[in-house]
Parts: sequence; structure tokens; C-alpha cells
Amino acid sequence: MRRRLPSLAGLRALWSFLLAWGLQAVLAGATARLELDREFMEDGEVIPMRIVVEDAVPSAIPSIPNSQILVFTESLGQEQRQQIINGVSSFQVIIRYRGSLRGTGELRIPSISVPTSAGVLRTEPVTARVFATGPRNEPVTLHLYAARDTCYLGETLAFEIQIQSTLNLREATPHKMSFDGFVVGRTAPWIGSQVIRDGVVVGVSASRQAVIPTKEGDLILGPVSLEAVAEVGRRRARSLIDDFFGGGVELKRFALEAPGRPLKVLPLPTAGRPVDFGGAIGRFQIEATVSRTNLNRGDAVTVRFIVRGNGSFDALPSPKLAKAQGLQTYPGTNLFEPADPLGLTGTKVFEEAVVVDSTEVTALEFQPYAFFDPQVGRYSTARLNPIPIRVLEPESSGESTTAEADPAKSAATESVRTPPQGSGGLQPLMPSAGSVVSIEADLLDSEYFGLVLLVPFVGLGLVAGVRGIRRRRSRKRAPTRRHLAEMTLRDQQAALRRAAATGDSKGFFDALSALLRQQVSLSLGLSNGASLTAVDVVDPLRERGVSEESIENLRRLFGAADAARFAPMALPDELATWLEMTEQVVGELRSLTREDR
Amino acid sequence: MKVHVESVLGFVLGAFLLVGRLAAQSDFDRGIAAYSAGRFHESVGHFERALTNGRPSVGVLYNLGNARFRNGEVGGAIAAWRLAERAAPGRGEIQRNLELARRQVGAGPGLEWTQWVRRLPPRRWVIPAAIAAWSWAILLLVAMGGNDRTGRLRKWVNRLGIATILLLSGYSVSLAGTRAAPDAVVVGQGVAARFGPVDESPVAFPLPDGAEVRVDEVRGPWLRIVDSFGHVGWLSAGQVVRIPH
Repeated sequence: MRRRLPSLAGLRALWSFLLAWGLQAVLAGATARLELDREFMEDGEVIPMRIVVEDAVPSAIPSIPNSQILVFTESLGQEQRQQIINGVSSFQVIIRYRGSLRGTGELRIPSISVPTSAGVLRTEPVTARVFATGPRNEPVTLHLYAARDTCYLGETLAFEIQIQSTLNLREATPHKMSFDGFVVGRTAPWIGSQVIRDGVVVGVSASRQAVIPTKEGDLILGPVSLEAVAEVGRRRARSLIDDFFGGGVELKRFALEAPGRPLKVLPLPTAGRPVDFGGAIGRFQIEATVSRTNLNRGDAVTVRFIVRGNGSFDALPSPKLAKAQGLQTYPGTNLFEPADPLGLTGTKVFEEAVVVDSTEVTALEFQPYAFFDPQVGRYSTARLNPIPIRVLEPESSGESTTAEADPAKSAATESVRTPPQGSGGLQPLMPSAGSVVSIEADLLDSEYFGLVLLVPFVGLGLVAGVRGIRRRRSRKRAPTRRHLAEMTLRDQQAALRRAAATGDSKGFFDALSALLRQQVSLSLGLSNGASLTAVDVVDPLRERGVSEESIENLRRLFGAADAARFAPMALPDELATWLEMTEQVVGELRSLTREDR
Repeated sequence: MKVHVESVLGFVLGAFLLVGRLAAQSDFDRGIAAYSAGRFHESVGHFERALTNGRPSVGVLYNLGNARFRNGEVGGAIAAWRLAERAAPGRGEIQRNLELARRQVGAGPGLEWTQWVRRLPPRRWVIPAAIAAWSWAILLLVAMGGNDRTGRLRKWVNRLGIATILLLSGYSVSLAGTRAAPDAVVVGQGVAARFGPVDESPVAFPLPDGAEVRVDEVRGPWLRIVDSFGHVGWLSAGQVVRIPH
């Protein structure tokens, strides 16, 4: 009977349901962002752009608005990606665009609304800087761009080195650059991308770095130089092997240099500088948390300051608690988590340990946190709301000291601390000193003394071991009954062979009689085989699987041995025949005995 | 009359010990008097002198703890009581005072389970366990030698075996508990553990006066300690009182 398969439409509906269900589940984390390949571009380029939507599906393709600099934007379609990072699955839709740049200056793409099946997501505004087209006298050129022409002392500034090439770039040496007047910050890895300029595809390799100016005035960032090797053409390959190892490619070395960029470094303005300005430069938001708010006097709490934003995080001072009676602060750790490779944006967390020594402290108050915002060129101050706390006296009460009335006490106030407020639970003094005790480490408490406990077990083990060895030896020395019987059999067999060889007919049949009875009794597990006859053993041997031929031979051997008691004479040839027959029968019976064992 | 040098030396030594004992007793009594009058700082001085002049006793250590506690020296009080507890495990008044002080300090988790172990330290287990183990081994050897015709010996071997196992288990738990228990007490206000064993190292976390910590490692004058919350840091040896196991 054929099973009915679900229809394709049904499967699609199920898939759509699961997709929608999954998307609904992760909608809380859905985001959209606009990405550009570079932050520094040139006039006349056709640049790629993309909107990345994570954990949501766009219901329509949004458009990127044109501006004075960005013109002729168009969508190039979308693609979907499923990725698993650290075991967490996420879903991405990437909508690709391209646009042409006309003019120079700051390119600012405003926030874009992305309609999705579950709501409208918005991208963050994106800014880039468009420079005038540089000299293009070579197919490979080097460029140096800085985020601004003017900055403030201590501000972290990003610059970018770009190698632009219309050829296939094979290698480049590390760049050499002058940083006179700057402290070098973090460096981002090289990133490759492509742009179209005048209808020609130009490959762009870019690396960004952060610098912090350390002196005021007109500085020059750079120049920068490096050497690059690019493919300039293809020679006719001499052989397939030559071609395989790259012998058919013509390479050219280019010595590239980009001139330095003038940078005007301004001092931080003195006008409007708050008294509590500690040197923070950037734009920040501050938050403070405390590990617990209900505590006993003398308890320590951890105050955590979280500073988010963009700016010079390396030199960021920690926010501070307002000075107050009854608070002791201890500097703790700080941790910076950059949100971009250069560390221009991110979150820095400062921790401070605070011991509250007074029950009169009702709130933790903070000093205003002043910072200089270089984007607007003025100071701002972030204020944190006080965090109310409740400080209780430790749980002990009782008699208060009479120190104030006591001159002896007053004389020693320097070393006297605040007595615990009430010690009602304290037990009374002992009236006598008691016997002398040791406060040193006690041997009986040492783990080495515990080894004494192991001695009886070691002794018992030794005794048991010695007894076991002795038993094994005595077993070796006293052979078993079976062992004795086997030894006897070997002796009787040897006597039989000797008698056959010498023609001793009487000795042969005597040995044969004894051997047969001994072997049969051993094979059948009988204690004594002296009175056995052929009739007694035939059936038991047959039951144990002895062949009919051997049984027949055994019967004949028994008969011959019995007859020889009356007429023991036989010829040597006959003895040899009897010996051969005996060997065959004994061999089979012995194999039977071995199987039993 | 002939004077023997040995007799003189013996007399001088005896007198010296007697004077020391009397001085210690005198300091002990003065400490009690000062304490009763509410002069706790003075009382601490007398008990500390009693400790120095004579040899330590449970009474001196316990009273010193009380005087220090009343004088606001919680860490010093806990250290004195811990030493008294070591000398006389299970004494109720010592335990109650320690509980009171620990509540005030705010002892962290992981301390309680080792407290009952300290009431029955390994030295309380090791002698009965050793007697039981040796007796069991000897009886077993006798039984193995074939001298147990009536079977009564085997019965005793079994009973002693069970007793030995129980005593050895108690000893093992007590030993483990002693090793895991805090063996140092922070004394002084404003003590903070550092990230490394140098003065220049930044502060890792503060420790209140009276915090009980376990010393993990000793490096010169620095101790690597673990507090009851599992935080690890370095303290100068002068900031704690070590309690021997």
C-alpha cells in the first residue's frame, strides 16, 4: 500500500510557519545596519553599499536617498545567509546597492527605514569622507586619508592608507610612515574591496589606524611609503610547468609614496572648562551601579561605572564618588570592550571598592563627569543620580563603653577604635586562666601522623601476601593425584617401549595391562582402575565420544593382556604391532583427558 | 655550709618560673578588673602581657578575645578566640562569641561546614582510630592463625572492623575540613588584598577587619589568600594572624 505523501503546498506552508515562528522568536534581537566598505573615498567612484538585516526578513527593498555627493543609487538585489557563531544561529538578509560619488566633503547617509514582516527597523546614520581625485599617473597608487583636517590635542583620530590598483596586486611590503607629534594607537587589518572609477574596476586595499596628537600646532601626518608588486602582463609560457609555477606572468615592482596630510591640532579650549574636567575627550554616556544597597556598617560594596560612547578610551579617567564622611574607596579594575577595530567606540567599565563606615551615609553620590566633545568643540558634563543605600549597625548590641568618663581610656584614644555598639550576645569572661595550652601546630593534627593509622593495614597486607606466596609454593611442591597418575602413565609407556624393543614379552604385557587400566581410569575419572575389564569400560568410553575403532582396539588389547598372563610368549613383530595399537588407543584417550581438563 | 652550684641554678630557675607565673596571673587578674570597669583598651594590654609573660591558656586567650572585641578590634578578637577554640574545641562560650563576631564581620558562604569539624579536630579522632585499627589488625591476625575455634573472635573482628571504618571516616573528614578551613584572620581596618605580592600592585578587593581567609601560598612576607567568597589576592603577613592547623 502506498503511503500518501504530503503535498508540496503543505510543505511550503509548514516551512513558512516555522520560518515565521522562528523569526517571531528572535524578533526582539532583529537589527538593520547600513555598511560601506570604506570610510574614505574619492570623487567619481561608484561605491558598493549594503543594508544588513539580521533575524528579520524585509518585506520591501528600501531605497537609499540621493544627496549632493551620493547620486544615482540603485539596488542590486538581496541575498540570505544563515550562520551559526558559537552555537548561536542567526539569519541575515543582505540588500546590495551601488551609488556614484560626485563632489567632495562629508558624505552623510541618514537613517533608513527597513520594513520587515514584523515591523520597521531603522539603520544608524553613516558618515564617510569624500576626497578630490588624486594623481593617477601610475596603475598602482598609494593614498593617505585622515578623518579630519583639524583636531584637538589628545583626541583619537583615524587615518587610512589605501593601495589602489587597476592591476592584479601580488604583494606589498609593510608601510613606513612618519608619526612625528603623534602617539600611534590600534591598527585594523587590511581589507580589500573594489570600486568602479571611469568605468574601470579598481581594486582597493585599505588599512586604518588610530593616532593621538601629542602637541599643538600644524603637524604633518605621514608621508607614507611602501613597495608593491603587481602583474603587468602575461608572457608567452614556455611550457605547462612554467605556466603552473607562475612563470608566464610579468611582474613589476612599484615604489609607492603618499604625501603627508597636514593636520591642525588645536589646544583644548580653556573657556567653559569645568573644574572637574579630568581629560576625557569624546562623547560619552555614563551609568553607575552598586553591588548591593542594604549593608552593614563596615561592609564593602563594588561600585561599577559603565562609560559608553566614542572617543579616546585609552586616556579615559574613571568617574568618581563624591567625597563623603564614612566612605573609603579603593581603586579596582577597569575593562575596555571596543566596538570597532580601532577602539574609537566601545564600553569601558571601571570598578571601585567602597567601604561604608558610617550609618549616616544614606546615598552614594557621584562627582560630575566632564568631558570635551571634539565634534561640537565644547565641554559637556554627565551627571549621575545618587544611589540610595541603607547602612545598618552590625547585629550586636549591649553595653556601651564608658570611655568618655575614663581618663585611662581618653589617654589612649589614638589606638582605641570604635567599640561595637552593644555586645549583648558576648559571653562573660572566664574567671581563671586555666591550664597552659599549646597554640603551635599539633603533631596529632598533622596528616603525617595519620600514616600511623596505615601501619596495621600495611602489616596485614604483608602477612596476607607472605601467606599467599607460601601457599602457592606448597602447592607447587605437592603434585596432584592427576599429576601423579600422568607421571605413572609416562613411566609405564616408556617401559612398554623398552620391552617391545628388547623382545621382553612378559614385561611388555605386564606393562600393557597396567598402562591400559591406569589410562582408562584416568580418562573416566575413576579412583582405582586395577580391577577394570574391557566390558566395564566400553560403554562409558563410547558415551564420551571415543571412536569405535579405538574401542575395538582397546577390547583386543585387554584380551591380549589377559591372555598373556597364561601364555606371555610373543614374537618381536607381534609386540611391535601391539605397541602401535596401544599408542593409538592411549593417544586418543589422552586427548580425551586433556579436553576434560 | 657548702653551697652547690646545681642547687643555686635550680633555685634561680624555679624562682624565675614562679615570678613569671605570678606576673602572668597578676596581669590576668588586672585584665579582668579593667574589663569589669569598662576600660577595655587597658584590659587588652593586661591580657596580652599575661600571654607574653606566662604561657598561653584557654582563659587568657578567651578573655583577650572579649577585651579586644569590646575595644572594637574584631579581627584581633576572632584571632584570639580561634586560638582558644583550637586549644579547647567545642567550648560553648567560645563558639557563641565567634558566631557573634562573624555575624558582625559578615562571613561569606563556605565557612559554616568547617566549623563543626573544628570542634572535633583530627587529634580527637586519630588516637581512637589508631587503637581501633591496631586492635582490629591484631585480632584479625589471631583469627587467621586458626585460634578461633568457637567463632567468637570473628564476631569481634567484624565489630572492630566497622568501628575502625567509622573512626577512619571521621578522621578523614576532620582532616579535610581542617585543611579547607580558613587559617588566618585579617586584623586591622582598611586592609585590601592586592593582585600581586608587591606594594605597587593594584588593590584587588577590600577585606573587613576579622575576615577569615585561607592561606594558599607564602612568598616571602606576602601571603596568597582565598576569602570565603573564593576571591584570591595577596596580603602582607603583618595584616593577618595565622591560626595553626
